[in-house]
Amino acid sequence: MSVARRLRLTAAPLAALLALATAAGAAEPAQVHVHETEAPAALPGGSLYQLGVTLEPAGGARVPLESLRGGPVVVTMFYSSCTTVCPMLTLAMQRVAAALDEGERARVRFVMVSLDAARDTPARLEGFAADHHLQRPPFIVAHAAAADVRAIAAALGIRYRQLPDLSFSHSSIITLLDRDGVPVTRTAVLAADDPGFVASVRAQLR
Amino acid sequence: MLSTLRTLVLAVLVTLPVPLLAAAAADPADTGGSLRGDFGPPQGEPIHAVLTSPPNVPPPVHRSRPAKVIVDLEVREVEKEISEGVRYTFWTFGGTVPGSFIRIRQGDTVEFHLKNHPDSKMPHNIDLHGVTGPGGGAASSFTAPGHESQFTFKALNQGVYVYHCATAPVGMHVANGMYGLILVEPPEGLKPVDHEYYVMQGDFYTVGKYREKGTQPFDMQRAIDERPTYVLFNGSEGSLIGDKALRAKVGETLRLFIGNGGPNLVSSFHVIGEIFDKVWFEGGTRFQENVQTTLIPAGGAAMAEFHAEVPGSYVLVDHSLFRAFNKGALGILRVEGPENKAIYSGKEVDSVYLGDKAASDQRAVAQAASAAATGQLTRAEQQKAGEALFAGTCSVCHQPNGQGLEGVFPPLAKSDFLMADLKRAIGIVLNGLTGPVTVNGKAFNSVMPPMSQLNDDEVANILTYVRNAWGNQDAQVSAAEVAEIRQTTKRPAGAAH
Amino acid sequence: MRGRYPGFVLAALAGAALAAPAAERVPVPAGDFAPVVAPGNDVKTVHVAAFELDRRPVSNGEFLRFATAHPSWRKGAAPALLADGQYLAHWAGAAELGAGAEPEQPVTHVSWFAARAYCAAAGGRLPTWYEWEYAAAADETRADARRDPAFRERILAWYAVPSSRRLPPVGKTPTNFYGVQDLHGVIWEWVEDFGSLMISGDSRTQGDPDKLQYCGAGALAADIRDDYPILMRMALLSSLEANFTTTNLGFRCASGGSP
Repeated sequence: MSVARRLRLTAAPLAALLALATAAGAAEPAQVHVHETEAPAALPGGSLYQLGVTLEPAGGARVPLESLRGGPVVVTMFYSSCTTVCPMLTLAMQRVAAALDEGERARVRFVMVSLDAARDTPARLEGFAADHHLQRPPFIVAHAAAADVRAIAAALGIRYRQLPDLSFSHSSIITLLDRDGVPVTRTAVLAADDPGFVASVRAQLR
Repeated sequence: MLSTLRTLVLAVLVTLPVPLLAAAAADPADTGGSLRGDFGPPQGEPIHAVLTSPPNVPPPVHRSRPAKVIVDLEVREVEKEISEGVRYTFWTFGGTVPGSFIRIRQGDTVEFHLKNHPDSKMPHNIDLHGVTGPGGGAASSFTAPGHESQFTFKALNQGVYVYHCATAPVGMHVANGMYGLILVEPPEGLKPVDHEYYVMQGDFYTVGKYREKGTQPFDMQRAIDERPTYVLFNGSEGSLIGDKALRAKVGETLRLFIGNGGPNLVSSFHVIGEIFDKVWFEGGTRFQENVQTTLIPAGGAAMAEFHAEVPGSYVLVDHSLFRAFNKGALGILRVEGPENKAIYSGKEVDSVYLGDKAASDQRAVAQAASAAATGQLTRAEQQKAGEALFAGTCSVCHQPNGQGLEGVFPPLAKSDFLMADLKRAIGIVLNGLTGPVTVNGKAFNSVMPPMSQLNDDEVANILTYVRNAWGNQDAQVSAAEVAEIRQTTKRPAGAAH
Repeated sequence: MRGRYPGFVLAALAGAALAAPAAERVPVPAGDFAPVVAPGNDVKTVHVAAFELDRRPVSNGEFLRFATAHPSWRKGAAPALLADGQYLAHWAGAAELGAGAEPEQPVTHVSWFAARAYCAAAGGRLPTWYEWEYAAAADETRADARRDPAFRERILAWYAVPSSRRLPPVGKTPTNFYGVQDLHGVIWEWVEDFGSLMISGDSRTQGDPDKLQYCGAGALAADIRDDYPILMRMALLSSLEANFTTTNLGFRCASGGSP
């Protein structure tokens, strides 16, 4: 995590976002939130965007994590070749999305960041997203550099380690961030719906 | 025909109540355990639990409805005395060993806050044996130094339960004193008594020997080998002795909550001179009556009730006796009041039974130890320390005035044998002496057992005392001289090194 | 093979407050290492590539120079996500150490994020758990002294000393086989992948992984019957979150290798 990058972001987030919006060009504007009204207030101390890390979404250009600011974000971490719990994790994310109506869904971002920086290239994640029929937007399936993956996981309280066979042991947690990136609640319930979590997402849309 | 009918009627009358009796016999009265322990949601305002330090117990709950009880317990790593002149770093719940006593009612919902003091080096957590849930709370209370964890549980079972830290290595955390008791009262409460006390046994493992002065570190290998240096009530040798003895008056009823934190040893808990009228063995619901010695497993507890009928000093011990007299598992209950000759007419138990060092005032010994550490030990200090040790160890045979026992034990007062050869005298204290000796012209032929369990300082102090008492006159005896004899002579088989 | 000084020297930084602090880093040769906690999949050893490790932990003085040059890391300035309320609590102020923090004492009350930021600015990174343990397995004369009970006793003795005693200055303990100091007996240290030590909060359930909680091989089954110092280090690191700071936790930096 570069300190210089962090300073730049906290100084002029709006300018950075506008620059990115134009730079993204033909790439889908999925990663840029529609902004409500005036210039954003200072970033809260507990916001995940304090990390100053970058995402490389499947099928898109690199964007700062902070580009997600402006609406609620449901975020988790996984890896594409995982066969045990990650399919359920993906399903759980999809179920939360399905529980919202179309209008609500459009205002939320469902972000899945890969733990496997070495092998889950954006191209590979593109295949993953297609295989799982993940609508983008609101889904964002992203690669991040290994050091940034560590930082995001650390901030979300997700523990993981890579095994010699290159698979990962990792905790499975889905976190809801408010529109400023501050974690509001989390769930580890994967096998069934978590209505409490969905209600929290809705509450963030009011 | 009639007789058959009568037989039939009789048969019916006899067998009819059998199913009912059988039903009753198949369902004896029990508390129903956790299945019947949920009395519904908490009612009323949340209560902040009153926690007490040992040997005190919080007041009875006096409630008829389940409540939310908030428990705030802090973990602190504290250096303090384990024995006079011996310091140890304890890891504690609430600053004491054992930790604070928690008292709630069956069916209560407990909101448990575990705080780990910022100065702690280690993370800690808590496993309460009264909790139904994974790890007894340990998984939910793992707390880094300078942080706090919270979890909530409902106490479904009544009983006296141990709590302890369960952070790896668990044995080490427990060996350093991280245990205590939580009482979950039955819904109807406990019968009122005059005194309730909290006593908890633990085994301690130090690198140095028993009573070796200075700051002693924990010895992991001794703990694995289950060879404790100290076995103590309430975390220190003097915790229940002298002015810290438990107190009661003749005619009063007492209730003891006794725990055993371990980590390794099982306790054979006994109060010398008393019989437990009732023991709720293992801290459970049923009691046994008229018990002399009760077994308390490591990680277990018991509750005992008895009456004080006769005044005196009653000694709490682990009846595995070398723990009581050579490792410190000893406490005193002092009962005051009028004599009752009809129940007990003899003289007091203390001074004869407590043959070993335990009963004597060890302050002089500690004073001498600290003076020795600074290299300024005076003869007077050694004599005072030696006198205390002599009273506890040697006076039983050689008598308090050094006169010995005619024809049995040689005198030390004005003894030509003692004064003639210091090295020999040191050797005798360490290795014992069997066979004929002539002292002041009189023949003796007895057995003196080796006293090599005394350390070098103690032997030096005792010899300084006896060689300067009752008309004897000599210089100081140094610990170094004792160490040399210990090194160069052989201990008899079976003696402590 | 003894570690030797690299060519560069510690910079004199009295005037050059904005210069990144130069670390005195020692080369640690590559080797195969059997960590006490096996990597998984029945593999018992890991290969640690050659890397450089700071000879000693980062000191208060060095961290103050860093925080002065990077104001977002000054005492009181770091956001809650990156450092908790006790960040640099022992310092008198943002610009001065005060009586409670000597320049040569190891810096403590720093979070993982703060440590990483420092190391990045110093041209390095935090060491990984394996790199740190690999270097720490050594005593003064041997690369791997972990089986020696006397070595373990020395480390355990540190845990017996209460925290109220003052922290010693850095660089005072004996140099180990690799030329590194202070890995034992001074402070706990952050590692880059502390989050990979997935021990459940209840350390007694090691053989009983909750498969749904931890995808894959599950919570670490630590086969540590007698290496208590390592167990205690793992327990401490796994009790932490990334923004935590504690009285006895600091760090040192590494570079090179394959983290």
